[in-house]
Amino acid sequence: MPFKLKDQAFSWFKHIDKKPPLTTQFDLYYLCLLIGLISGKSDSVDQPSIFIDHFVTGYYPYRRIIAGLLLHTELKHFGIALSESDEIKQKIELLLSSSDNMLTKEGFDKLNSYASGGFNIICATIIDKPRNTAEFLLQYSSLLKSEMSISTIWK
Amino acid sequence: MRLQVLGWQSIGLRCADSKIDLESGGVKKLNLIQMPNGTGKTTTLGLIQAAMTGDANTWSPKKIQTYKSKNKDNEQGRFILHLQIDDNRLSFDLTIDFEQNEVTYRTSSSRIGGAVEGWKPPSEYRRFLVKSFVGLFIFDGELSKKLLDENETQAEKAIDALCQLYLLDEVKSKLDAYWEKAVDKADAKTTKGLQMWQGKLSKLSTRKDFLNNTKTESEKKNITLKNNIQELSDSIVERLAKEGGKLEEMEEAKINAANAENQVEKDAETLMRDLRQPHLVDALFAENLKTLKDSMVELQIPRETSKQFFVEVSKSPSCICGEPMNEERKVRILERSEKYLGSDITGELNALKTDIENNTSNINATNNSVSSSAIALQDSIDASLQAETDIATLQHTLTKGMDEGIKEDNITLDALKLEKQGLSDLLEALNEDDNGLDSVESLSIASIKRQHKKAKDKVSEISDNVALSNQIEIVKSILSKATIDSRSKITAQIVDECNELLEEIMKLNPVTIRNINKSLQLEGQDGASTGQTLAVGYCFLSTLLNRGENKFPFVVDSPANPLDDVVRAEIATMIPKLCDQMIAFVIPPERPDFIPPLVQASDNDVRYITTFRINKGSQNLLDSLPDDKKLVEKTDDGVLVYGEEYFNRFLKEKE
Repeated sequence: MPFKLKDQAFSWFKHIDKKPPLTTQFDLYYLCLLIGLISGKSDSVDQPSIFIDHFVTGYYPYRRIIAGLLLHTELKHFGIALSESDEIKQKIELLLSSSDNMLTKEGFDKLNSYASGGFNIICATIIDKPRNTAEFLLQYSSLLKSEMSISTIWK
Repeated sequence: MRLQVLGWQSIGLRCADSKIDLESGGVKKLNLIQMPNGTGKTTTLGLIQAAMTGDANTWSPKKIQTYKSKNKDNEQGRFILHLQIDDNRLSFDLTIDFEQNEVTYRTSSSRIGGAVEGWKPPSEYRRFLVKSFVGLFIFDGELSKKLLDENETQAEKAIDALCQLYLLDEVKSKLDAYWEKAVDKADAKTTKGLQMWQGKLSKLSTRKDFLNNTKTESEKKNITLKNNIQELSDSIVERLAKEGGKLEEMEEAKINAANAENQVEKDAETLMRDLRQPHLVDALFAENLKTLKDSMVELQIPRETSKQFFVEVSKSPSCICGEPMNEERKVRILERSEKYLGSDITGELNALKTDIENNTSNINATNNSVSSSAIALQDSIDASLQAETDIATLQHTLTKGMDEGIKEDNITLDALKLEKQGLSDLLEALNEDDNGLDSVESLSIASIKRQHKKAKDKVSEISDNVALSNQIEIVKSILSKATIDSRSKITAQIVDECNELLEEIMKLNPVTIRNINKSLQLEGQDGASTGQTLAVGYCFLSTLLNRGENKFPFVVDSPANPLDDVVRAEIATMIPKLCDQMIAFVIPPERPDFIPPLVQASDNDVRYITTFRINKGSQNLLDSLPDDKKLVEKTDDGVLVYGEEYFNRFLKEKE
C-alpha cells in the first residue's frame, strides 16, 4: 500500500522538489498532508503518482503520531465523541493496523486523500509555482497558521 | 564487450609528464600505480574520464586552467589515452589550449578509418562511453556517497546500464518502425485523409525529437553558462574593488552576503526540521492528541484481553465458568468479542499512546516552535536581500570610473545573463504541462507527446491498422512491464547478493541494504560511515559488474585510504573479483593490511609502477633509483619506475 499524491502536485512543486531542505518527495507529501488534516479537506487522488511505500527515515519515528492525527481528524469528521468507545474502536480497526506503517489500506487511502485535499489548498493560496524553497516554506508556515485559525477539526 | 586500458601519456599538464604503459608483457589483472599526494592523481583520473567520455568539450575556462602546469608556462598540454575494446584499439588524443581555453579531440581507431578530428568513437561503443557510465568503473568516494544518496538515481541507472535494460527500449523503436512500414503499404479508403494525418504525425515526430534534443542541449549549456557567469562576475567584482581601493569593503560585503545566504539555508532547515515533527507544528495538535490518548486510557482502548481470546473460548467444549458450551453461549460470547480489538493491533495502540505521551508531555514548550522558526527565516531572508543590495550599491559606485576592459567584461556579463535567462525560459516552456490544445508549434514536450499519440491513433484508424497498432501497444506495454519486473527482480537478487558479501566483509561493523529504490537504502539507519559507504559501494558494483556480458576495467583512487585496518584486508580480497583489469592509484600509507591481500587475490598478476615529481625534495629518491635503467623513465619533471622491488622500497622510505 503506497503513499500517493496527484501527479499534478509533483508537477506544481517541480522547481523545489528535492531542493534542500525539502530533500525527499515525502517532504512535499507531508506538507500537503498537514494542511489536509488541519482543514479536514480531502480529495480523490486522480492520476496518482506513487512515490514510496513506507515512511522515509526522517518521518519513521513519527509514524504513530501521524496515525494519531489521522484518527483524530476522522473522528471529528464523522462527529464521533471521545466517549463513544465502540465507534472509536471501529475507526481504529478501519484505519490502523499492526503493520510497520501502522495503516490499513483504508488508512492509506484516507491519508492520501487528505494530502490531495491539502495540495488543492496550497496551490489555490500560493498560486505561482514555488521556485525558492526558503520563500515557499515561509508562505507555507503562514498558510498553516491561517488554516489552523479557522479549523473546525482541531479547535 | 571487453574494455581495457592499455596506457596513457601526459605532456605539459598539471601532473608530471609521463607515459604509463600497461600493455607490455600482456595486460595485468592488477596495476598498482604509486603516486605520492600532490603528484597529480586527481588530474590523471579526471583526464582519463575526460578522454573516454568527450566531456572536456563542456569544461569552463576556469576548469581548463586547473589542468595547466604550475611549473611551466605552456600554451598547450596533451593527454593521450589508449584503450582496447574487444579486438580493436581505440585512442583519444586531447589537446588543451590554455591560451584560448579550448579542448580539442582526435580519435584513432581502425573501426573509424584511422585518425579523425573530434571525439568520435565507433557508434556501438558510445553508449558505454558516457560520463554516468564511465563514472561507475572510474571510481571515487563520491560515487559511493551518490549510490546511497536518496536524491540521486545512480544505483538505478547503474542497474539499467549494466543489465542492458535499454535493449527493451530498442525493441520498442523497432516496433514503431514496423508500424510505419505497414501504414505506408496500406490501401487506404480515404487516401487524402491518411496523407494529411501522416504528414501531421511526421511533423510531430520531428518536433518531438527536436524538443527532446533542445532540452538536453539547453540543460548542458545552462550549466556551462552558470559557471561562466559566476567566474566573470567574481573577476569583475574583484577588479572593480581593487581599482576603486575598496577591495576590503567589497570582500566584507561578499562575506556578509554569503553568511546571510547560509543563514537562510540554516533557518529553512530548522523550520523544516520542526515541521517534520508533527507534534511541534501547533500546540492544538499536541493538545488534541493528548486528549485522544487520555480518552483511550479512560475507555480502556485497547483492553488487556483481546478479541481472539473470546473467539477461542467460544470454540472450547466448555465455558471458562465451567458450564458446557452451547450454541446460545457461543453466539453471546462472539457478540461480546466484537467489543474488543484484535491482539495484533493492541501493541501498536499502546505504543501510539506512549508516543503521544512522550511527545506532548511539555505542550507549552512546543507552543511556538514552528512560528519562531518562521520568524527567524523571515529575518534571515530580509538580511540576505539587504546584503545583496549592499553589493550592488557598492558595485554601482565603483563602476562610475572603471576602465575599458571592465566595461567590456560587464557588457559580456550582461549578454551572458540575458542568454541564460532566455535558456531558463525555454527550459520552463519545454517542461510546461500539457494545456490540452492542439498546436504543432507548442514548446511543451508533454503537449507534443499527446498530440503525437493522437495523430498516430488517427493514422492507424484510417489505414485499417488499428488492430496492428493495438497489438504493438500491447507488446510495448508488455516490454515496459518486463523492464519494470526485470529491474525489480534483478534488484532483489542484487540486494541479496550484496548483503551476503557485506555480511562476510563487515563482520565488526554490520550494514545491510534494505532496498534499491533509485538509490541504495540501508536497513534501519540514517547514514553510514565512510568505511561502510565505500564497502557498500564496492559490493554493489562488484555484484553488478560480475553479472553482465561486458567486462570493464576498474580504476580506483586510494582504494583503502578511508577504510579502517580491519575492513581493509576483506575489501582488498574482494576488489579484484570486480573485473579482469584493476588500476589502483595508491599512496604509501595504504600498504599495511591492504596491498598484500590485494596482490594475493589477483593471483600475483601484477604490474608495479611508482611515479614521483622531480623537485627540491626528491633528490634522495633520485639517488636511490634502481640500477637497471630499463626500469626507469625520466622526463623533464617526473620519474616513473617499473617493478615490485622499488615499489616496496619506496613505500618503506616514505613510511
